[in-house]
Amino acid sequence: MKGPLDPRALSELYMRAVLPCLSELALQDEVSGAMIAGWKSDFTFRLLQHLGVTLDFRDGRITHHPFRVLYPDIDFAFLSERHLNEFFDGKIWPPPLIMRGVWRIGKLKAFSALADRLEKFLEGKGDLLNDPANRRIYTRLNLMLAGFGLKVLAEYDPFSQAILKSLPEGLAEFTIGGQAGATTWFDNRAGNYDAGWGTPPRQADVTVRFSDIEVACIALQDKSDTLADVGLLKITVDGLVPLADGLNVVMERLRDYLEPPPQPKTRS
Amino acid sequence: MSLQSPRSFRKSHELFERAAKVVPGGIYGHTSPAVMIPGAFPYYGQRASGSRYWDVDGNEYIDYMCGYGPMVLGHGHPVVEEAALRQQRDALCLNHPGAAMVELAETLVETVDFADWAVLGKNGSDMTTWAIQVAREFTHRKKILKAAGAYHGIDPWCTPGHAGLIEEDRAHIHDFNWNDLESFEARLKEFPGQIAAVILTPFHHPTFKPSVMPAEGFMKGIEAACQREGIVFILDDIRAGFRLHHGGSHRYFGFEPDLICFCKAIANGHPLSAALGRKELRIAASKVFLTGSYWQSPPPMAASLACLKVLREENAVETIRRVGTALMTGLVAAGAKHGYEMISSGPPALPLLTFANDASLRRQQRFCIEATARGAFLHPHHNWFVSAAHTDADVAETLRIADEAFAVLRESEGAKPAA
Repeated sequence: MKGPLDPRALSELYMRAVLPCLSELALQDEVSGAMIAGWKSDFTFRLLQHLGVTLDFRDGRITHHPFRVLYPDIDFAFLSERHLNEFFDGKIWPPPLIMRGVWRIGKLKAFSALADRLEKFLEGKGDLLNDPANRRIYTRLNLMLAGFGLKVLAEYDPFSQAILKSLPEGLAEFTIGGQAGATTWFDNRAGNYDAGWGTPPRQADVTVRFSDIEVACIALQDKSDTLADVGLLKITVDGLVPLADGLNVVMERLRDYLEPPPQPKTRS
Repeated sequence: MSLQSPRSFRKSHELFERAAKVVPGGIYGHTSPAVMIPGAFPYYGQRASGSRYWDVDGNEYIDYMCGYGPMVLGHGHPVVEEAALRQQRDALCLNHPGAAMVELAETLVETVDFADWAVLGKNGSDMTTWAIQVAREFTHRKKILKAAGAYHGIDPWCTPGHAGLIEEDRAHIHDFNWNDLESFEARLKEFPGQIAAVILTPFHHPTFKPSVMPAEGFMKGIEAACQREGIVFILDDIRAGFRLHHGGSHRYFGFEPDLICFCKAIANGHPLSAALGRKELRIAASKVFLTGSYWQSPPPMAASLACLKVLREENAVETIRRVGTALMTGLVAAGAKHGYEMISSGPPALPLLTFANDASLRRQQRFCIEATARGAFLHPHHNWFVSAAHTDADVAETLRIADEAFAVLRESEGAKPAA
């Protein structure tokens, strides 16, 4: 029912939903924070012929800009959506064109390690989530990814666009109880979508609140019965319910793009 | 704004905790807590009588959902229950249909003016899905038109859900806009000679939104286009059937379909649905396979015969219309008294009250919570149902409750705006 995946949508997801999560990773994960300590540079990523994005490393923080600065320290360019998508999916050959900063080998290696760490936390595979601290980081990052992902899918994915067309306009926020700043929001205004991490620009028309980090962690892994959780008040939905319901469908679409197809289930 | 009810729902929640371990969703479908305001409404019911029901915690409510429609004469109507029980004493499930099936088909055909035949099922989806098959068999065409946002059941071609579907499920299902003949005609031009059926509800009743009545000429325009193009016009009267007119909702609105589907009010709560059609469709209908494990069980048919008889003899639709009108007029006035502009939508028998300027639905939700906490069960997101068991006293009590609920809402929002 969902139709084929759009390669441009996937490229944009990598650049505008995955890369922004580095800023939260640097804040929440001490190892990542230490990796970028003292950095003072900006990296850009772009598809040739298209606008790109910038990661600005400064004062131990990472800021993601939805545009490409003019004279970055390192400028990654990809020949095509497929080229970018395969690279972000782990196929490092052919590498991106490094239009500027190719001599900054050390920085490139360090960035690669940071990206690996982000991937590890976003995937949450193996025994990573046995540690409560890791679960917290995993959950915050995936909630952030979901918010920015909504905006990208609204702009590039036909299936998501069809869903959004049937939804009421309004601002939705998704937040986690007991987690300062763990709020992702999406403003559904046809032709003018917006998303962010942190306090939304106005009162939300609907607020989806996970009671705590554990409830959110399981939900974001698609391992919980969220309808039951709503009835049990582990997840509350306040306000414009149909908007939250519809956005949940679009968020599930994110998995189609960013997660490998599920394998047939075997009995556990 | 607190969204908790002062009523105790302890047993409801205990049951739900058990259910959540063994039932996907805890409660699935239209009665899921997620469709209401979880924690502020009961999850499980215990018993019912007339216009009232009690939840498992013993809280009493004036019932404005009527089991989401079926209880058209009120809960436990003695004539209907006696007929069903009498039939049940003879047989619950046989190797054959009983005489009640023939008698009910005859009664339905007499009741619905354009119909020459009737078939019976259990649920609304049974009938709507079968009806589109009949239309395809009759026309040898594939495509089905429906109004965007309309509900016609849970089968893949029409379910409002998104999970478990494949693209092919809806490859030949196309939407047009309710009350918009131009968008309908555009679909006819887009698929010339390919459309088997148009399926419509008699009025548009999307969840989470006010209902919309058919505009002047809309249904007649659809009817005329269907005749012109050889398209089967299916009326999905599952929700409204026998609440607006004893002969089907097309009589209330003044048009004529080719097929009509009933459920809900057909047997006052006993599991039964029906589809009726014109004689021209009879052969096609005979070819489309139709059955189910319990579909020929006689007691619901006996209940239906009794229900249809009482509806007709007591002119129940007029009672329902009168009570529903008093209810909605009173509620709009009560809202205005507290400074709220209220919107009463849908026919009085299946009304919905909403607030103007309430895009987030929070006022609506708070009002329904406060009213339900005081004993008038008002759904915040779905059209309500009025039954023949609702009395003037029920309406008066509901309006008193609503006055209190509006006052609480007003107090929480601050002073009434100046006129």
